Amino acid sequence: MSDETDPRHPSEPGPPEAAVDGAHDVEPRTSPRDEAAFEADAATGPVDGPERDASASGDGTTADPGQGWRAVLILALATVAVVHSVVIALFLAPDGPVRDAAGPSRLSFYVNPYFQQSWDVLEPSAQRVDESLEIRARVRVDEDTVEETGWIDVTAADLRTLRLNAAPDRMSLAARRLATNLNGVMFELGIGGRAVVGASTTDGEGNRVAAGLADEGVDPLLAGRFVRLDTMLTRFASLYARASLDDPVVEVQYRVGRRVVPPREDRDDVRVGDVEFGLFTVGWRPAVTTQEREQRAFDTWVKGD
Amino acid sequence: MSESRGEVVEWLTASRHAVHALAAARIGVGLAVLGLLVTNFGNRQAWVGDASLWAEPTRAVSRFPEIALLDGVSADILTVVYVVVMLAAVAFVLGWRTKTANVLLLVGFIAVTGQNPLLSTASDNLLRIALLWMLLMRLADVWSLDAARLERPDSEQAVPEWLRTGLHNVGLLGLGTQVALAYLAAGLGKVAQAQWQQGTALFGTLQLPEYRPFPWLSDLLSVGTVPLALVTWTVLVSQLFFVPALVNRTTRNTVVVLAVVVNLFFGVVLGTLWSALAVVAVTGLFLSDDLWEDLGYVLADVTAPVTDRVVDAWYVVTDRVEDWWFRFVLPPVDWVRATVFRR
Repeated sequence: MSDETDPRHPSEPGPPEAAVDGAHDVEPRTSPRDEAAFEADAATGPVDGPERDASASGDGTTADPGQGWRAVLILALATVAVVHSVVIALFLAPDGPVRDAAGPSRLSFYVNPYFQQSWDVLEPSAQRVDESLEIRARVRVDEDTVEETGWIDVTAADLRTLRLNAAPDRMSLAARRLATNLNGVMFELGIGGRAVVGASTTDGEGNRVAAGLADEGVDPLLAGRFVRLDTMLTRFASLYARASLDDPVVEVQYRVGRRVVPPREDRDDVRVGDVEFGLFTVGWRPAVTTQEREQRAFDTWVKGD
Repeated sequence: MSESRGEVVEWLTASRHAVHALAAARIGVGLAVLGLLVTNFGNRQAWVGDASLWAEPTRAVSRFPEIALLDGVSADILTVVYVVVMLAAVAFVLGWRTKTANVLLLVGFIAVTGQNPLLSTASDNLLRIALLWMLLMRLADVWSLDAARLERPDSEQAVPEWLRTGLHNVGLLGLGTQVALAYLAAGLGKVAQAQWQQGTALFGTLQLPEYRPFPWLSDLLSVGTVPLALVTWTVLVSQLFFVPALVNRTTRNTVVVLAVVVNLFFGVVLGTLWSALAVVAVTGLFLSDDLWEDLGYVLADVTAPVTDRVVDAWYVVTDRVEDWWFRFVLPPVDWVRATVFRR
């Protein structure tokens, strides 16, 4: 999950103890192959099974169960693991009095970054929104003339790499992720905020548009999210335009699309590919200058060299 | 009270649990990371290297200290580190210097994937958490190159056996609970939605272009009412009843096999193979250890013709290299020794 989206969704985690018993077995094994396996394992310490009982291993180093400070120490560590699991369960739990009592911000602080997770970690999930990213550029064709190119559909190009590919590379997600996150922010910006963004021109790093959004009364955190995405999209569009076009790129513009899979009942008449995208378009941005090696590396991806 | 405490302490300290399941998990997690890195090797500069400057704003708000290892490094250094992480994944799969490989893999995996948080996936989280818990565990007791290497007196080991066993079981408790929570949260999250109850939830997903590497297969599953309901409810059942089914050996093994099949199937159908493999790797923790052991023997028997031929071919190669060495390398070396050094 990207940090631009809220990865936490409601759920009702249950008692973690159920997992413990399920993780091991102590049933006797009668296979003649066990003897050899035991010989191999005996040197590495006690493992499951009656014939692998610690007391029979003869190494004399295993803790005497239930006795002494060693057992207390291990028990304490196990308690820490259980408490940790309870915190994770609370983090994944839906909003409510119990979660509120624990403090959502405290839970997030504990979980982030190493134990960051979401309830939909397991595929597949139900999705029905298709998104697109298109870019275009103003290019200098001669000393006095700047021309506008047509829209380049980046997501359509990505889809070609997904065909017959059960393990596509991460970059094939890039345009769609950018579009998904920007669509989300655009909806949150409201009509006033979207008007500011649509008419905006920036210095390429989002500075001017941030001021415009502040004047419109947009929440600074939301404005910050937009600026961050705008910066990423402007850089991405600049790199992509230069990789795709021969003439020097002066300015870039991008637009993100969103459409919903039609109802299943209409599947014989209309599919998602037949639906027009609803588009959010931003103003022109000066193309971001990059170093030659950065552009060259990006070209490698776009052109598939 | 004291009796149950004694049972808990016994479970934690007497012997290491799930050694075969964890060896399988080690191999699965290693392959999932390796597959991800190999798949992205060609585009690594745009993903996490020089050309990923477009993702810098989201990298800047990341809290992983590991990303500093690769932030702003040259293309050559990125390639070196990337290859080292791939080699660590190979070592992890083979169980060679497993603990060192685990540390390298954890740090390297975060350093690489953390460079571009926008393109991270839920399975990245799962892999990271699994690698973290695995630091506590003994993953190479079986099915590893370390298994032979570790045949040495305990006095040579840095950590005493009782502590290693205890930490192993605590780690298993932590990772097992984490995986169970993931299934529980996913199952409860789904069953609360009407489209999952009605058996139509996956229609949209299977129609989205980004999840259709094999369009004919996606249509086969989603256009007809019966196939769609069948796959939708199978997913729901495998996740919702995963935790309740853990209480009994038979139901536990059944639900684990079901979950593994579902994950691999949708990994192919949706084009998320490495993510699916990561989930499968940790799901396998709950399969009974003796079944894993038997599976290992069956696999060894099935692959014996191939592995025997590989070993035979290896001996032929080494014999030829030896011949070549004695015929072409040693004679001139002896000649040099005899003529030069005698003087």
